[in-house]
Amino acid sequence: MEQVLRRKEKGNLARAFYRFKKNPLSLIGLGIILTMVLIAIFAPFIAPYPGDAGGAVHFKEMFQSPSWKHSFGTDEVGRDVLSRIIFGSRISLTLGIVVLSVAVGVGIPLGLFAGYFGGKVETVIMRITDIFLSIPPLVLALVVTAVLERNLQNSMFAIAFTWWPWYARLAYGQTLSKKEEDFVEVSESLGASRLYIIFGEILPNMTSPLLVKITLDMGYAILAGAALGFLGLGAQPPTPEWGTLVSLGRVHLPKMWWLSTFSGLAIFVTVLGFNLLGDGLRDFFDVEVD
Amino acid sequence: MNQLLMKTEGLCKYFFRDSGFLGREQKVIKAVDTADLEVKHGETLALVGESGSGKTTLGKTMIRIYKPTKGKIWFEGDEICAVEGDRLRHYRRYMQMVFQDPTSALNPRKTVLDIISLPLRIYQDLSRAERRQRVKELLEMVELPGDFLYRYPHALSGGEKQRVGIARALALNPKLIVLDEPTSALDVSVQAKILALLQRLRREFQLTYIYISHDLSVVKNTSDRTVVMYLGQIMESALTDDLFKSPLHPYTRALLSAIPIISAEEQEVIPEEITLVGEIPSPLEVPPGCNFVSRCQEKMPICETDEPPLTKVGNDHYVWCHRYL
Amino acid sequence: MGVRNTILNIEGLKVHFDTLDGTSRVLDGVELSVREGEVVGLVGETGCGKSITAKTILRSLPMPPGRIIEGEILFLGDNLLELSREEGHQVMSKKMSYIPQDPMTSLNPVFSVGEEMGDLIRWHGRRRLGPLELMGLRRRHDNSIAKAVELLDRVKIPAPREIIGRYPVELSGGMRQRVLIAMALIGYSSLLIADEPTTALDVTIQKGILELIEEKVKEEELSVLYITHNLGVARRLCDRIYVMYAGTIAETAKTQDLLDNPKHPYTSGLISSIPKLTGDEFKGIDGRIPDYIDPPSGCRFHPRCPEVMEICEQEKPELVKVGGGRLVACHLFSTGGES
Repeated sequence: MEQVLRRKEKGNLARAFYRFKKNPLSLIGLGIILTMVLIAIFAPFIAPYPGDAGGAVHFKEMFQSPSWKHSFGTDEVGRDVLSRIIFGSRISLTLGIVVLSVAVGVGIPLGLFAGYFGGKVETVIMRITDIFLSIPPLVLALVVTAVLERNLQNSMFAIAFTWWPWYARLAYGQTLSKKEEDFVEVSESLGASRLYIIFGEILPNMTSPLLVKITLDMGYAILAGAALGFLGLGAQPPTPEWGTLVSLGRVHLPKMWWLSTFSGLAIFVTVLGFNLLGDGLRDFFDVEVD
Repeated sequence: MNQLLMKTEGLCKYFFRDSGFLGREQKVIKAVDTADLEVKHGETLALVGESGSGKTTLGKTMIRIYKPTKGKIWFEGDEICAVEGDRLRHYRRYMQMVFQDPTSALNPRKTVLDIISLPLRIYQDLSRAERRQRVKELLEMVELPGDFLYRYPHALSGGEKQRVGIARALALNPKLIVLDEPTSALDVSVQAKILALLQRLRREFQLTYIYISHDLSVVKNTSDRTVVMYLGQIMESALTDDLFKSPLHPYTRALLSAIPIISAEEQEVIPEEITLVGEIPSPLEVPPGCNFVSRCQEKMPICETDEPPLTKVGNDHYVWCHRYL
Repeated sequence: MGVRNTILNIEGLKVHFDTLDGTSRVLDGVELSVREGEVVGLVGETGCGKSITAKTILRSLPMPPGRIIEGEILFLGDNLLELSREEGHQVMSKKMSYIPQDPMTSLNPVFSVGEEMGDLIRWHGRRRLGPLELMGLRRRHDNSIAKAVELLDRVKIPAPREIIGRYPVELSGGMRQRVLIAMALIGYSSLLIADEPTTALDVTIQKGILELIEEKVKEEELSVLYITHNLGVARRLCDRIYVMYAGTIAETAKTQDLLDNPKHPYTSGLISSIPKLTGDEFKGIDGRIPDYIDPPSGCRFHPRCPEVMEICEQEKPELVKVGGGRLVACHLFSTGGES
């Protein structure tokens, strides 16, 4: 029996956390995101005026600047801006999750198949991917919302529509390199089913770049959603989506600055959080994403 | 045929590459060109050669990891060149492979248990507990502790990873194992242990090995018969001892003289000094005639035009060279 | 034969590496010397620190995370570790040459052989290049190409004029290694450090390269520090060998003395692990290479040593003379006893 010299290896998780801690910015990012998630989950309990998130109106209190009563002031119909922004976090997070779920769910398998099977499958899938990559997201969103109704769901659909090709590309590139590894040949020679090889052997090897990309993309998806909202193509009032809020408050600038500013800040902080976290993860895993 | 485990006749494996304008032309790489060989039950047959020799491709083609382009293969009397699907799977369980790079051979995202039990999950209907038990037995066979079950490859040394690869190859009780340079990625002190393990396993389980290597010192000490390959073709084949005592093919002799030895006694075993001039040609541009002609120091005019014929020179000693007609 | 000058002398070199899991003590007191006209082999297995030693001499080790804890590297009278980066670089570029390990990745793929060699010949030893020079505007009207052709000829490359125009990707491993050797001969003056130059090559090609190196060493009276894991190669080229294990020197002796009569148990173990053509039994060494972050106490080889004694776990053995110019770091010899 080979004698084994082994220092007690710290548990994998402990090592991982230690490495992650080295980068303070990524910890800040993590903090921001966790805070956001908690805010979104507990919105009804945190928001001072939960009723204001929807269509309530209090004309008596409109356009109040930030005060003790309303930390972020009130809007044009007297609703508490802070509460609306708090509930807006739910919308943004949901949007990010939905968009990415669709993009990943569609893009990754397509990329895997293109990379593994090669030949005609590869050509067809990657050419379609290329076509979609050349469509600017907002332009497509305009088209979609022109054809369909303007609402949050359709804006999510539009964004996901333009987002999946990046995941297809990621999976494609990773598959091309991983499929040359011997352990894939082993599975093939044992007669394992191709679906198993693709999803059971190759896919687990790309979780690092995938995780990094998803994290970074969450921020960008939320930003895209806000952009559509800002253009009036996404969530419609009274839904307190952050982009929509910025847009509505824009006409009242600079006098009633608190209407756009705080929602804009919310977008900024959220996207920053995902970026920091994503960069931290990227350094941590030491991977290239695209 | 009871003595023979495997036999190949005219076995070829070509790879095709598109080239030229718009990929209209096709270049052919004859990775293995007309291999005729026999593998006897219980022996270790060495396939020896340098880069481009085709030894790995031959090994993989013989056990149907690659589909042969031409020729025939018999496994225990059955011709297996054309079989597919379930029938092929039936044969595959008897022919396993151990790979050269222990890091690439193990999926970094899987535990040792997952890796070794993969063949069991595909071929056998065992319960989880039964599989676990079997994997533990296999770990014991390769001298690894049972608590390695849940380790990941990155926590293992090169030698340990290679043992895991061997355990996986043994999982289905194969008859034949193709070992593709199993120790060339390992340090020499580890190599000796792995080779000792392989010898022990061969005896214990009556295995037959096809041992692919470029290291003739190892080959001399572990194999019964040796086949020398160059650029896809077999140049010489003999009992290992005979090959060293009386190497015939000019390439074999050059190969032997290139072994870095560490003692004067070893020098006596290979007295000749031959240094080849020139490079190994690209497999895309194989010259007509004998594949070795560009570097052969004993070439004759006929070598450049005609393929060398097979000549039987002694008991189990064959050479493909115009000089021995 | 008179005493030759010592060109390189390393004493008590300790290098640590800061990693996420702790401090890796990769070199733990390396002693090494190369005299004029000698070929000295540094032999060891993977991870023993031989490459790190070379990189420390060449100052190409990233610092941090590397740290030199103590020790001296005396080269032609200067302690390289005390020179500033600039000064050290000057000394090295003018007086040392290096042949890297992997010919496949050591040449810049976007430059032809002629361009790469030409630049080296032209700018050899200069510290700063101006923008005009970098843009290649001062390239013409000099004889650097002719010199490059001559160098390629000296390393027996056939049709050197053709090769000048080729790109690395068009050359085989053996050819690339010859180009690297030719490049190492540019401006060589005192010490050549070769880091396993033939490891990645086929054995028949390796033979040609080893013969070339042997020839060049004789012709140009080179002083060489030759790093390898292959004792057979070391036997061929080296006058003296240092055997390295786990960041320390286990033993050093003249080549044939070492191979015929190894004293350190690791050396014996190593030699006996090599399969021999004479068919002698070969066995390995138990255990694995140690963890450099938490290395074994005392002698780093003690957990694997077949002749371990109590003291081996407690005290690290120093290199002691055992006659005939040999040094061994082993308690079997510390008190003058024979094994």
